[in-house]
Amino acid sequence: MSANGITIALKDLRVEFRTMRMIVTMVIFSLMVIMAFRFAFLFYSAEAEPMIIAPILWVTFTFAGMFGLVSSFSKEKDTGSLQGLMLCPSDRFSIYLGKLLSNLVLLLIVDFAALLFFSVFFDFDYGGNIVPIVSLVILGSVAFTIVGTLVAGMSVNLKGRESALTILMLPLIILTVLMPAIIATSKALEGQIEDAWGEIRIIAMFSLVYLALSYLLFEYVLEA
Amino acid sequence: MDKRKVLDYVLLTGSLIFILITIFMAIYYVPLVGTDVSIVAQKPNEYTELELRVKGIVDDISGTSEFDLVDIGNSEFELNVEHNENLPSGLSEDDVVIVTGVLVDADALVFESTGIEIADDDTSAGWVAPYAQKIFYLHTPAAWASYLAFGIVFVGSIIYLKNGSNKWDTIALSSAEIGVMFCTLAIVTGPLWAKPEWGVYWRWEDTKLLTTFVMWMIYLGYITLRLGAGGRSVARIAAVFGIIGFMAVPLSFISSRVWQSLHPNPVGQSGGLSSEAGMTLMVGVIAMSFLYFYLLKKRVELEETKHKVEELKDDMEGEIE
Repeated sequence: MSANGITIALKDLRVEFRTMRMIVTMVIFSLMVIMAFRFAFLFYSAEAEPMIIAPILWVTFTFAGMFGLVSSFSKEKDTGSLQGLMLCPSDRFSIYLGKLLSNLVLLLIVDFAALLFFSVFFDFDYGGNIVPIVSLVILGSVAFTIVGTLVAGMSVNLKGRESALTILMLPLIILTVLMPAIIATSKALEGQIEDAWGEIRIIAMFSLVYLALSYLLFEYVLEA
Repeated sequence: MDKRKVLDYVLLTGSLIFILITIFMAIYYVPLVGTDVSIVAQKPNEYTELELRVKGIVDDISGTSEFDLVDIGNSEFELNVEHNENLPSGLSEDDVVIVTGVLVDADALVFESTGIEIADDDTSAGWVAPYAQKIFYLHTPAAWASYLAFGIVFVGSIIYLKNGSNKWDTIALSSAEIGVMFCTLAIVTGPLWAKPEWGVYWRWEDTKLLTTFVMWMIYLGYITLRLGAGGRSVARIAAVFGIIGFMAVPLSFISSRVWQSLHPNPVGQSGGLSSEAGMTLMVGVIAMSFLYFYLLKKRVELEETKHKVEELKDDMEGEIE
């Protein structure tokens, strides 16, 4: 099951890195979001107002991430290759795992680019907190992709795929991923990552719940 | 008379009667639960600080005004005080209220207060706004009906995914719409109470409010998903979303019990509700359940009629060709 998933992920990534279409779009999109925030907070400095950092970062990750999610399914759907994948002698959950892994790799690349852009545009030094922040970004991105891959699989069958993804996904991640991740990142920025244990547990717990739900339900999503 | 009509009439009249009974009970049957204050203090001097302990029903208090003190023996005095914004919310029997003031007339025991200070205000036994609290008998049953409705969405979605019966899909769709209506009612009535009680309409830091709001958003997403053209594919995706989204319902239900929340949690707490309040709440829940099942039945019938009309249209088109 996981071997098939990795094969599918590698296939997706190979296709992606041939053209770099999605990854370049997502990175530029995250650059645009960070710049929009830079102009919105023109008279603020990240050093002086540290509470603006974590929300800006996570809103950027969320919107850039959502940008890439739908296309991972829509290009398969539009070329008819999703049928081909479903015909493969492997269960449906490995398709989910494959998409999850490839989406996660893309999202992490975009996340690190966004961290860099933030550092440049807001003239901010992560300093000694870079390791906990990167770990939180990875954890949050895993949780985000677990929900996102399932919802993207759903919304690809609907009219107005992108808007459907936003409407369905945001309420599912606000309390379970986004809010705890923002609080935990704020704590990490203050150098108090050990206080963020509760938030980390919330994210991890809900990731497992969503993963279990995906295991049970993805088959119905694909056959829709 | 048609059997289906009988059930309609029973559900409709039942819900109307029970709603009326709830309103009447909330107004006339349930006693006002206010914040009660009686004094435990030394015999007042010319200028004194009275230590009040919360005990009985309070009638009148204001920033600087005169109070009548009643000598009840043992150097203790009773003072009638009424709720207003000067008295912070959440007074309990263990709280100590310090009223600073001047004894204007020692013989008549007339006391003029100049300031009120609450030494300890951690729990709530009475209400700052006892009249606004009456909305509780509408708010809680509406919230309960929305939990019930979303539960039916969950069950309907599972059955639909299992055996693909259109009937359960229709039930899930109808139930989600009605549930959003009840949830909206609860979300609107809550702030109407919170403004006089807390002083603000909404508290974003409160887990109960937050989880309920997210639940409402999830089911708004569900009905948005189904707004467009139907079809088997949309129905299946909606069923999957109905199952995932149900996660918010237990989260909202338990949140004020598990996490610290300002939202009162009287149900299920020992001694939280008086028997009158409990009874009225029960009648309210019955009323809202009747209303829910009536609306559900009507909505399902409407959807079935819609399907029939579509079928007839298809038939006619076939015949014309």
